[in-house]
Amino acid sequence: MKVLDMKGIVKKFGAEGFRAVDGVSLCVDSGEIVSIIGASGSGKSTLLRAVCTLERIDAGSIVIDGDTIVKDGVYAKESELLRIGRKSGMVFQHFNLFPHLTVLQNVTISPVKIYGETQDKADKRAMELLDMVGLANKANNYPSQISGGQKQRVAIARALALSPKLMLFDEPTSALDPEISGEVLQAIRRLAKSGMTMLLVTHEMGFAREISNRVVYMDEGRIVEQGGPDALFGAPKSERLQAFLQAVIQV
Amino acid sequence: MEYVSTIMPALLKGLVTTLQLFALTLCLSLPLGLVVSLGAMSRLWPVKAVSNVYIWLLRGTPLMLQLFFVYYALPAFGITLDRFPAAVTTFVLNYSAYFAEIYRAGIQSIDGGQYEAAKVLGFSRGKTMRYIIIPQTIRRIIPPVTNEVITLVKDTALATAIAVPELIKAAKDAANRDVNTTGYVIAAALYLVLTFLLTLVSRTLEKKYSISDREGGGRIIKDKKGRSLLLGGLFGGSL
Ligand SMILES: Nc1ncnc2c1ncn2[C@@H]1O[C@H](COP(=O)(O)OP(=O)(O)OP(=O)(O)O)[C@@H](O)[C@H]1O
Ligand SMILES: [Mg+2]
Repeated sequence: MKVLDMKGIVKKFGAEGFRAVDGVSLCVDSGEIVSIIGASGSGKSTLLRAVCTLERIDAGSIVIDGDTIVKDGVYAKESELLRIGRKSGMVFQHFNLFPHLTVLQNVTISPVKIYGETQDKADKRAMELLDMVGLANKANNYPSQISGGQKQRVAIARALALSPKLMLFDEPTSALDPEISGEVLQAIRRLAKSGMTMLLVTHEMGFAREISNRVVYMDEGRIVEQGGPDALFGAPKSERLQAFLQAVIQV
Repeated sequence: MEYVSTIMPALLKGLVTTLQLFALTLCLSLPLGLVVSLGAMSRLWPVKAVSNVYIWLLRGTPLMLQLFFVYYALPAFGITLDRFPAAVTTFVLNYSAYFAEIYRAGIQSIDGGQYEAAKVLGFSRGKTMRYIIIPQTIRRIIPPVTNEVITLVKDTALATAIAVPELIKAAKDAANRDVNTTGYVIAAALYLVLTFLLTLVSRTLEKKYSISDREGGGRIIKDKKGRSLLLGGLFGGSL
């Protein structure tokens, strides 16, 4: 069962029509964890942002959990997109928590104000999720009062509050000190164990290798190579991936 | 002292007019400014253009000139206003332009990531403004807005130019009639009291909002039986 089905995605930027994503097709099955790796500027974020409609693609089709977001470059109508939108949850590099709301309110505001859940029910669900990421005791704190790693775990809980079928992570630990990123990776591991389908952009090669069922290597807007983590990291076929891994290991 | 008590009633009457002008201007220009600032950031270019011209005209010309225009020139276009409504209209238009600029700067200072997070959580453009952007903007614009409010108290004195019977007019009338400047001194004292009170209010507001931004301890959530959900969530409600 495919949770995400992308075909022939093209995303152009600027007057010259620079192709940040240039004909990418990628499927993610239910329960599968797929990591995207690649050099800076290779189009990883753009591809992920296309899935949650933060970027509008110029050509291609995206289907999430059987619902068509865009078919051959033509988008579904706004009300449809709102309904399908909650099937994917996005976690950003810089957390993007709402600073004027408490941790708990950050998690409940969308279910309550957008999707019409009662505050009671949303609060209970939010407390379960905060408990899962180990932050139930911070529910009444404001984002400015918690650490970066805690913020990112709140962001994960916030995305989960809409019960998505697919979680998207864009370098969730890149803004964190190495000693703190572990707690976020731990939260993602737990989520993986619970069977969540995930598409993850990361620079943490060790983590990608450990957690993924499949790793995708992108360069210049295209998928150059993909496969199981051991095959991809252990025996890279393309020269570009070999060079990339060489460079990453040296850093 | 005896003289003071003879002119005090007239001065206090002037003060009441000053306060009315001040309060009406605030109540109308604060929301109008929001409309103008949203217009100035609109995606529809005609709305954007009109809003920007509005801001440019009203901030770019003297308030006194605007008062004269509304009171003396508008009748030629078939709009005749009494002194007081003319003053209120002018002040509202003028201050809404200043507030619009403050709001715009505040709204544009909010990080783009806030819009992206809101979008992926299903917020429409309007709801993003309402629930995410404007509440954060309010915290940031309290200092410049209160500054402007204090300036407004003093600016109401300009209404004397079209003979609105406010505090300065009352003081001037007394001074001319009695050849005695005590009225001006009392007026000055009254303005000082007003600005002092407003400064206190603005300090309180700034404190209050900066606290809720940083220090938590907000509401403690309880479920219907009054148990703290914090504990209930952790221990399955067995406490
Ligand atoms: N809004 C935009 N306008 C113009 N160009 C853009 C925009 N967003 C991305 N790009 C360009 O598209 C290309 C791909 O960017 P993208 O952010 O997807 O790369 P990435 O693989 O995520 O890189 P990184 O590892 O640095 O995050 C880059 O060359 C970038 O400059
Ligand atoms: Mg990126």
